[in-house]
This record gives sequence, structure tokens and C-alpha cells, in this order.
Amino acid sequence: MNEEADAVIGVGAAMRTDDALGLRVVERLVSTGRLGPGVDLVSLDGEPTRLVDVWRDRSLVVIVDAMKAGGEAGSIHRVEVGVDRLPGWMGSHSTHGAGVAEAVALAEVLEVMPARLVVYGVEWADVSFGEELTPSVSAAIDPLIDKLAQEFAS
Amino acid sequence: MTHRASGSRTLDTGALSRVEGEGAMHVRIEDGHVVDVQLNIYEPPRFFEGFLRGRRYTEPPDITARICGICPVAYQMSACAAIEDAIGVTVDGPLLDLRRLLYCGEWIESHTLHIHMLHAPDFLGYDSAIDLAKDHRDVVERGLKIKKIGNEILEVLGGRAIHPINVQVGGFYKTPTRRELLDLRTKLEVGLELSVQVVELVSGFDFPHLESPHELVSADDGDRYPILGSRVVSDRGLDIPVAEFLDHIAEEHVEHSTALHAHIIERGNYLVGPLARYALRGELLAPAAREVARAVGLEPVCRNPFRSIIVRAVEVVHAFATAIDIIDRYEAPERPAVPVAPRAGIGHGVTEAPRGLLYHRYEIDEGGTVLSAVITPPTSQSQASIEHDLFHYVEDNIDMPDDELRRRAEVTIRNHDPCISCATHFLDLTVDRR
Repeated sequence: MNEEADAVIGVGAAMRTDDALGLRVVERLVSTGRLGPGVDLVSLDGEPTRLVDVWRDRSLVVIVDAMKAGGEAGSIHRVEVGVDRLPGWMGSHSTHGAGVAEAVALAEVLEVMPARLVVYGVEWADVSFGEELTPSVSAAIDPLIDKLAQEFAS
Repeated sequence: MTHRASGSRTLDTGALSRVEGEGAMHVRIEDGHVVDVQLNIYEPPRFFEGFLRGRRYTEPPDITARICGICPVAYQMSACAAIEDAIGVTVDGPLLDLRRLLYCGEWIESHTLHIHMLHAPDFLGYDSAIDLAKDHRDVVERGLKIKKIGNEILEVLGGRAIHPINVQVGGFYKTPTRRELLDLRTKLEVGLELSVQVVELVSGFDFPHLESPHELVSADDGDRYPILGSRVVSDRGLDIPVAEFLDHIAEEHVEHSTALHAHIIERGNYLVGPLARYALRGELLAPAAREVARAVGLEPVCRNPFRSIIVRAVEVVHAFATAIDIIDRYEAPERPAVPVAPRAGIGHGVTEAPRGLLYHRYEIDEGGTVLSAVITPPTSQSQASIEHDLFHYVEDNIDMPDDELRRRAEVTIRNHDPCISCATHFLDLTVDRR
């Protein structure tokens, strides 16, 4: 039974420059109401059991996280778990260690995967200490939110 | 990955799994003896000390809470205690109880995460909690259920689980009604029962022998098991007011680490955390926790870091029992916070983060601007002792194949639950044999 609302989970660390991207995206979604009232907006730090807890009983969960896959800072990657092969950046090369990949593995064993899990990764430029996103990552927020809106419109 | 060069051998690993943070460990072996163990820890608090200078006196609880996703309450509580001390304000009664209640939520979450996701797989022969869950789904499910109840304390009282937003210098922004806490109490009863089962489970694990000789240091909270604290005590006679912390504890840079190593002046390294709290103030545990500790044969002073998993599990029982007790006695305070007007001063605060004593010191000017901040996190205090344990464990098992030795070394580090981001994110472990 998928009784809970669909959700966007922004994963990030507030004081690690571009690593705050997921949190900033959720803040923007909260302030603009862009996705409407039917979508839960959640900020998490990427700790796997917290992710798994939020996934339970949901049809669609979309995760937004900063990541590094060798591309240009600010470029956006989309992975649908169970459809696409899990890329390396969802494992130990993510800014949150094995966070999302480990959570997927745990949720599969515990049979609590959402019906659909989509992960948006945005390439970071800098994850040292700092409060502000770098310009290239900040510029990715608007196009990313357009993509999120499409996920929930379809 | 193994690299071989003539006459020496170096092993590198990728992530030192199941300990998060940033850093590395290096073990050097020469002629069959360990000559050096270095835990290289990257330490965010140093950044935050600089970041806090020039901020308003009301800001450190929120800012330092961002140091760690797992123990934000610890940072908030030590920051509040230190700033209130600087300004000369006393927070007591129901507000102090609510702080303890919030902290119980963090202990439950953090310890339960460590027990189930990080530590138990070591003793049950699994590489990860995911593998553990394949064979013992009930164990992992129970852990997640307990953790979620701890999480709910943080949500009800902290406003949210990650970086609680309801804490301020002087108290809270909003205090819960008795009704809200009674709803929580029903869940805490379930958590208490489940947490006793966890003690029974982990006490049956097979533990390697290791006797940690270090001085044990903890906060002292009068007639309560230390969560908050007003003094700092040790098993070798240290008994000081918080304000004298830096007179007795010195931090120094060591070449291999960006973290400062703390030691007791003229005495040396020491250990903070569950083993210290339990050894020093175990008699003050809630009756339910004392009872289960006795029932499973946990000795009154436990110096085996491998058995710290039992002490953590007992502390989870204590946290549930304490939370229930606080709710039973709770009368909503007249106001959510004591007014705190700025005043020039220097203040000190200690509380017990899940992984040990966390000290904050702030100097504030008359306008309320932070002039300086000192944050001494638990892992940097225990770091030299962890290295010591590693040194001897590797020395005693030097003939083990490197892979097994590396795995055991990781377990030895995990025994101390180094903070997920306030002190460590182990990325590399090297064993260098010459």
C-alpha cells in the first residue's frame, strides 16, 4: 500500500558550500509552492536509515543531491532506480559516502522501496566550508526545479 | 588494493566503511613491530570557531548544530550552556528537563544507529547492516523502529529531526503541551521494551579481549546520570568545575592530523564516551537500565571498548526511561525561554554528546558579539586513546593477514563511534610493513 504522499527529498550539508544544494532546492520549493500541496518536501543529511524511513509507503520519491561524476559543475544527472544502472556517484563518490546507494540496498532488503525512486544529482564545484552555493551550482536550481515539476506532472 | 615495493609493503583501502567523517588511518610496521599508528582526522569545529567570531551571542546554537547531522542537539546544548554561563543566566526546572528530553532523543537515535548499522555487523560476521538485514531482518527492523521513536522526540521538541530549530539560548522558542508529550509517551513505552531486547541481544555477542587503560572522563550532573553537566570528573581524581576545563585539558597540534589532540595536563591521554560515563556514574542510571545491565552481567566498570556496544544499548534504555520520567513529571513552563540580554563575559559549557563530552567556551562583549569560541569535540579528546588501542591491538595480532588486520583495526576504531562528521570520515587506511 502506498498511502503516503509523493515526496522530494533534498539531501545536503548546510555549511559545505555546494553540498547544500539539495537543502536549497527544498527551501525554494517550500517558498514557491511550485509542486503544489500533494508533495511532501523533506530535507535530510543523507544518512541511509533516515532516507529509508521517508521512502516507506510512497509511490514516487525524488531525491536531489550534490555529486561529482567528472562533468561540468552545475550539470544535472537523472537516475531512476530500477530502470537505470546505478552510477558510481551514488556510491562512495557521492558527497554523502554510500548514502543513497546504501539506502537503496537496505530498502530493497527490507522491501520498503517506493514504487518509483528518481535521483537528481547536480555536479558540485566546491564542498569546502561555506554558506553560499557557487554560481554554477546556484544556476542549476531553476532548470532542476522545472525538471522536478515535470516528474510530478507526468 | 595492494602495492608492493622491495622490502616494504603498503596496503591501501578505500572507504573505511561504516565510519563516516573525513580522515585516514595509517599503521606502520617495522621488523614485525608496530612503530606508529596515526589517525588522521579532519575537524570541522576548527572552522566553526573562526566562523563564530563576530556573530551575535544568540547564533552559536543554530550554527554549531550544523557541525554534525547525528549530534546537533549536543552542539546546541553545550553552546547554550556556555553562553548562558557567560551572561550569568540560569535555566532550570521544566526547561532544563525539556533539554534533557530532547537530548534523550539524540542519544536514542545516535546509539541505535551505531549499534545496528555499524557495530552489530562486526560481531555477527557481516560486512554491513544490509547483509545483516538479509539474514536477521527482525534485528534491523527493530533497530530502525527504536531509532524512529528517538527521532520523534526530536521532531516534537526540536521542531524537526535534522538540525532542530526550536532551541534558543535561554530555552526554547515553543514548549510542548502536556498532551503532545503524552502522545509521545505511548511510543516511548514501546521503545523502552524494544531497547531492553537490544541489550539482551548485544550482550550475547562474542567479544575480543581488550583492556583499555585510559583515564575515563565524563561530565558530572549531580545526582543524575550525565547528559547535561556542571562539572568534569575522571576515575583518577579529576573533579573540576566546567570553567576550569582548559586549565586541566590542553589541546595540541600533532603533525599527522588537522585535529587537535587533547590530553590532561601532566597526565596524558584519556577517553570520553559511554565507557567513561558508565564507569563513573553507572549507579545513577535509571532503574530499568541498571536492572538490565545487571541481568546481562555487564560489569560496573567496563574497560573493553568492544563491549561498549552493551553500554550504548544500556544507555538507550536509560534514555527511554529518563524521557518517560520527564514526561510524567512535566508541567508546561510559564514561558518557553528565560530572557537573555547580552552582557560581557566568558562562559563554559559541557554536555555529553552520544560519543562523549563536548566542551564549548565563548567570550562575548557587552553588545552581545562573540569575540572568541573554543569547541572541543569528543572524538578529538579520545583520539590519542583510540590510537593507543589500535597500536596495541595491531601489535598483538601482527601475524594476521593484512586484510583481516585491516578489518579488525576498523572494528577497533568503530568501538569508539568516532563522530560521523564532527571528527572523522575515514577514507583511507594504510598498513605499511617494512
